[in-house]
Amino acid sequence: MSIDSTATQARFSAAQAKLLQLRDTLGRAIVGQETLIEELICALFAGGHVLLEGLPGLGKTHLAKGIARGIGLELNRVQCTPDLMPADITGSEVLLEASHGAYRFEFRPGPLFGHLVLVDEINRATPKTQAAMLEAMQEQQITVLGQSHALPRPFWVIATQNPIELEGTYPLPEAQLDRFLFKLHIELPSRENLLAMLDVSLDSEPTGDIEQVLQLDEIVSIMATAREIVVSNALKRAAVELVSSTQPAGDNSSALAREHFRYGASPRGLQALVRTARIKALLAGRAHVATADLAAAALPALRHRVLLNMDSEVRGMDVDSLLREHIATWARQR
Amino acid sequence: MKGSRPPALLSLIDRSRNILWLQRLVHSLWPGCCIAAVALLLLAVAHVTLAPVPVSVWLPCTLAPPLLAALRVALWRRPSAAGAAAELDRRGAYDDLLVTAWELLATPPLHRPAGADVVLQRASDLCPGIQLPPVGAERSAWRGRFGAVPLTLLLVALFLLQLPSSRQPAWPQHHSIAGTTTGGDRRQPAAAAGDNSEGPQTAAATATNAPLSRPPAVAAAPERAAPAQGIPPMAATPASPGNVIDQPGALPATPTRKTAGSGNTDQDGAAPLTDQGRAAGGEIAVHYQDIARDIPAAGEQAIAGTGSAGLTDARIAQTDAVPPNHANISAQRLPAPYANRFSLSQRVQISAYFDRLEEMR
Repeated sequence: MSIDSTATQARFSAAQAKLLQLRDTLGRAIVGQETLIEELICALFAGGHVLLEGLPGLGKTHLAKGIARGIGLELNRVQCTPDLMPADITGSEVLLEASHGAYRFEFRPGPLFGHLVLVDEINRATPKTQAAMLEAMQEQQITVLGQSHALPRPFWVIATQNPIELEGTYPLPEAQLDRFLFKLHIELPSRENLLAMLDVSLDSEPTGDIEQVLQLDEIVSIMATAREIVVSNALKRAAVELVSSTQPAGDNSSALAREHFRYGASPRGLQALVRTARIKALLAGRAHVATADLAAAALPALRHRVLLNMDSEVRGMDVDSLLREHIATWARQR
Repeated sequence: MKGSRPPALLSLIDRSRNILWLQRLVHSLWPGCCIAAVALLLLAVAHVTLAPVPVSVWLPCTLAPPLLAALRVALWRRPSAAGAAAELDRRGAYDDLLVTAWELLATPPLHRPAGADVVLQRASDLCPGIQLPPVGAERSAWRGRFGAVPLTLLLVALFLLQLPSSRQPAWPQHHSIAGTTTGGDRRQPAAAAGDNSEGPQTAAATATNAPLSRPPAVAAAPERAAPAQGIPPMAATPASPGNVIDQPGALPATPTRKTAGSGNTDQDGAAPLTDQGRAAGGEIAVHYQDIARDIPAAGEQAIAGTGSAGLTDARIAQTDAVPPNHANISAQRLPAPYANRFSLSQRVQISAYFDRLEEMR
């Protein structure tokens, strides 16, 4: 084995070990959500933002706090309400009294200036405030009064929303939904997991016991290592096939897409799919992406990028079940 | 990167590619055999019910579908190297390692991604342990369960068609075999018992199938013989002993015989004879060479029309109790395999032979 490949192999192994350690650490504190934790790790280390959707009390905020502790980053929290203004999250110029009685404007950064931002109940913010996050999420910078301010790297947004309380909410526009790498659903835990959760969290804050697994430089290193994971042209073509077949009007559309979808996944969805598949491969100890990685990453990467048509919505069809069928069909044809 | 790494992987994928190609060839034979079996079965049914089907027809029908299917696979469905690598990945559950490594090998080293060396190294490490699948190892459960069906159909069809080995005489020559039937004489009871209204239908069916089933020498015989002797085709002229025995070159035949219970009336006056045929219960087989020996003129003509090869297995099975005569022979009441072996003029001569034989008895 050459020196180069040995060093690369060592980096892959170290990154895998760290990610597995983080996953296990979070899994001990947040019981019964192993899949969710792994998907969250994949999305974050792929450099994307995550939208967590689930009923109240399922631990969305705890999960965000837990991963912040695990990766050793401070968590900036934004509690969204209808009266939340864009300047409240981006920051603003404030007039300060300088020496000699002079006054000057100084930029006071908002909570978005952090590595990890928890935007709680994002659908309660007004569209104006939601739109203010667009630039931050996509460009990783904020412009206030014509001046751009770069956000720290890495920059992650973990947003939560409640799917049942729709009164007084502003559903996220499609453009903003597309900026989230993953949309994750938090499922109700099983009875066994509920019992285990009581043992962990009855008398104490479970996330308080989470040990720090990673340093900031390690996070950056792992993200760089993930970019070394090889994606073959065959797998790239397969990913393109999977994403483009969700477009009902496309040449490559599947029968299921033509029947049920109004819009399919965007090219950004394709990027999200392949980037997260790389982290899946890294977690699995592989130096290359496999079909299984794409299949595993497809549902959380595509579910918020696909819109049902009117007929399917009226019939109460579920995007997740349709996408699962779509992905299974794609995997069989591989 | 080690120098020996790519050759090991390349060799593996090349061998796998060839094996996959062979597998596809073998697997393509199965649907071909199914098609051949169905075609052959249809031919066998036609052979039994309509007219004999010669080897020149059923042999191509048997061989062509599997060969065409195999040829199609051989020419157009050869797996690519990447496809072979992907197939190895799938069978060995290698998570696309080999197909990725194959692509990396095809990429110039300077353009390979950073993790390429690790992938190639892992693929190289994997190569010695990979077992190439044997040819024909993979088959579906459905095919495994019903794999014998086309073979069975083929065997049944070939049995019905009477393979060349089974076309040797199944009964002793010049002996009566009561109650024995072969593929060739299955139509005899119906033909013997039927009234004269079946005559033209049978003749028409035989005439329709004659070009398909007749050997070339025999098929050409009616066209040669009939105009020379001035005998109209059977389909055009109803069988009539009065007509046929008056043809030049034919031996004089016994006039129409009177038999008991002859209730049928025939336009050609052959009703008593067909009644005798209906009452018949046995069979006799007369070798055609007897005809050639006993009646030199008829024999020579038969030899000229049928050919020496046809003489050896040309037989006429007719009723035992009442010897065959010119009436039911000229009406093409001969069993299916023999009916169209003879031209019209030859049938006239044969019927004359039987008439003469009856007189001698």
